[in-house]
Amino acid sequence: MHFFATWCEPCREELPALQRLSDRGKDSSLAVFAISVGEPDIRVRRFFEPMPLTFPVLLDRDKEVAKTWQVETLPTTYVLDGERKPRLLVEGEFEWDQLKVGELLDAVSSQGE
Amino acid sequence: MTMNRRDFVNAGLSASFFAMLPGSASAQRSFSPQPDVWRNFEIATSVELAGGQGVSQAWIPLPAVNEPDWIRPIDNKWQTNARSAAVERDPKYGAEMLHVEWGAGDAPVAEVTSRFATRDRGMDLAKPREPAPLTQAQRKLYTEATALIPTDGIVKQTADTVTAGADSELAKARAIYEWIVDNTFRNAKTRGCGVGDVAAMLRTGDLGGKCADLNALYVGLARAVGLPARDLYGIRVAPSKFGYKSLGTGSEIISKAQHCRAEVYITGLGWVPVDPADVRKVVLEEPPGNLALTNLKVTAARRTLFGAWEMNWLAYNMAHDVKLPGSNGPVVEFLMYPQAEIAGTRLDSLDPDTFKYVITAKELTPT
Repeated sequence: MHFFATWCEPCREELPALQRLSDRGKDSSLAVFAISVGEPDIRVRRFFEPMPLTFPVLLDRDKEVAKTWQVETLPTTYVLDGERKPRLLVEGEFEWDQLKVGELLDAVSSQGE
Repeated sequence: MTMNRRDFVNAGLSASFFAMLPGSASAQRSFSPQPDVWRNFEIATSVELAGGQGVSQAWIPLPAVNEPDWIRPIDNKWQTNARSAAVERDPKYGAEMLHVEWGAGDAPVAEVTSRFATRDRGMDLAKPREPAPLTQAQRKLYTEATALIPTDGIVKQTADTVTAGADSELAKARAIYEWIVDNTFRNAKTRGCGVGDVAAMLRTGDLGGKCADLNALYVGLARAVGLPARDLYGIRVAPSKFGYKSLGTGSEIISKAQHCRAEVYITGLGWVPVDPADVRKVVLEEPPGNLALTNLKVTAARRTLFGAWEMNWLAYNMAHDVKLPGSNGPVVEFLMYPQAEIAGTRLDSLDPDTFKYVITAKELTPT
């Protein structure tokens, strides 16, 4: 779950990297969701016109979801396990291109055991 | 030049003085606004929405700041094909807006003309005055946190560091101002005026932004040490008569000339105008651009913009987290741009391709 905003510069670079991560994990149990925080729908749609994504982009118009998840900076990414429990948290930028999907899934599944 | 993840140390010892080069006094630009003549202005905001897509609404900011020494709204007039148009007032901060509603089949247009008068501000900070004291309610309003301006946590920690050793309210206010000038930067890539998420700026160390970021940072840090402070959201309406290209408009079209400033309340002085964001704007944009902090244009602006404002600028309001009456959508962090919805979907005030509005300004000849 990747919380972002179109005005957030690091976010603009991470989103294509997350698309590439999603592509690498297309045959796995990995699912990527992007959550736009506090912006008009139309701004988000126009932002993605030159950057089509294949994973869902959710709209947290009033920032309530971000508040519930205690998002304090953008970008923020939570990695959930198969039971949708948060296992990993990344606050700020991350080099998603360097991440192997298998390692990520192993890290998540081994948490809390 | 991009600066990220700045170091906060030496905050209290940052350059709170600026050297006058020997023999250079005559070379300095005289940027010294003084409260002399009143100037009358008129701005016109024209809004046009895509028709036939559903019930539409617009909220157009109106001049609502009324301070006898420096700004007076005169009147508002409007023309529209809307089924209703009414002045609405935010109950907490007194922000005013024209709320316009159109039916589903309308081709929405509206034009609002506002007249107001301004006078430059220039305070002698060494000369105590007898300002009207703040009421308890006002002190609470201007020291409390807002959604994007917390006054605890990292904001409080930073404010305490920045003001360490400052032994008066004025010294604290100035320490914060100098720290912002020294440690932040205007980011040309920031859309519009910025967002004003103060804690996120401090947490990430990315102290770049525009006026809504940098002046909100001022307000947050000041409030965190108990100084009443407030943002004022408005728009530039005329060129600077002091010759600063970056601090005024370039034409009568001011659709993108929104600008916010800040004030801090000092016992014995009252509300002191400040604008550290504009100092950083001079650094970045005053020709030839990317000026050093030691540049004479910058040092003059830095000296002046703590305690003075040139009033080629309209202050709409001081409101945060504004609920748009009649909208089921989210609050707006500040009301400095026209807002609109079509069929319940909020338009993007920063995208002229999807939300067409034009704002113009002219100075009125005194009669």
